[in-house]
Amino acid sequence: MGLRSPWASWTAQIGGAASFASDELRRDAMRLIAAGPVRGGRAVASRLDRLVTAGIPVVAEAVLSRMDLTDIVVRHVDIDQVVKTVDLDAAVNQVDLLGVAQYVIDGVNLPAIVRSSSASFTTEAVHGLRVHGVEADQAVARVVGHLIPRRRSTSS
Amino acid sequence: MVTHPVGGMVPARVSPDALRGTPAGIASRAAANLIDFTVTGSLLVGVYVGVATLRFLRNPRSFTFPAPSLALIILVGSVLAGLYFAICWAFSGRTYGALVLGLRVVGREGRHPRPTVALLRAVACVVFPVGLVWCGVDRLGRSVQDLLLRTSVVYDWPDD
Repeated sequence: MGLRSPWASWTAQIGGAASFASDELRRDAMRLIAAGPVRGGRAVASRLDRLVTAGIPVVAEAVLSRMDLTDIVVRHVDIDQVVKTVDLDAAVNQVDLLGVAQYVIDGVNLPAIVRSSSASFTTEAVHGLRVHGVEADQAVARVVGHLIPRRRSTSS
Repeated sequence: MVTHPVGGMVPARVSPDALRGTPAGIASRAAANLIDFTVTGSLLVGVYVGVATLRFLRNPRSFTFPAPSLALIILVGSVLAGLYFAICWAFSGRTYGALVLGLRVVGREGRHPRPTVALLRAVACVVFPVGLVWCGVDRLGRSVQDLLLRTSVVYDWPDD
């Protein structure tokens, strides 16, 4: 049955804890009647406190393990408002930022990235310089060709 | 031997393969020479620092920086430039400036010049640098040194 597995065990656990507590309470109540109101009242309160202390974790565990707490927090808690109350500066001051930076640098092999990017930049710059050189040579050749028509006619 | 005129065989869209072996013009060659001039200046500074260091090590207490005359600077600079050109042309046909601009000095066979030719060309370039200007006028882009030693400077972009 669908109800059998999660809900049945949950109910059984809570029911068991409640039954245990009620039995103990009944016994303490009998002792209260036998021992007198003042002494018995203190004893029952003490006993009840111990029972509750022992029972709450069991009940809470049974309840919380069956709930999606993350979903509940997301739906019902204004996280932005919570974050505003956090002293981020104090948190950051406790972090070893230089250590983190060194860890990141070691991980990403920064020298290799710098080498490859500067090599690419240099290659493009040199290529551009050569292209400009060729274009300038052509421009000079055209000018000289106009100034010396004989040279232009032989070259063409 | 290069037979294409400067600018005559150069396609409108610059392509390294189409350019290879065509004569370089005066603009590229002047730019390469400018870079080589800087290299020679660096060598000269290096020599100066070396001499100053030796002087300091030999007699640190009375050390003063050397103050060479202008004539000595020109002489040493010319020797350095000549050696630099000769060695580069003899080994690869390229100085550093030529490497950057994608140029190469070639002999009659189309290969880099022999050591003797490289040395003579270096001396000619140092003694008579104005001879470069003739490559702007010559149909085949030859400088005075090229005409004397039957060399050429061609485009030859190295593979990056």
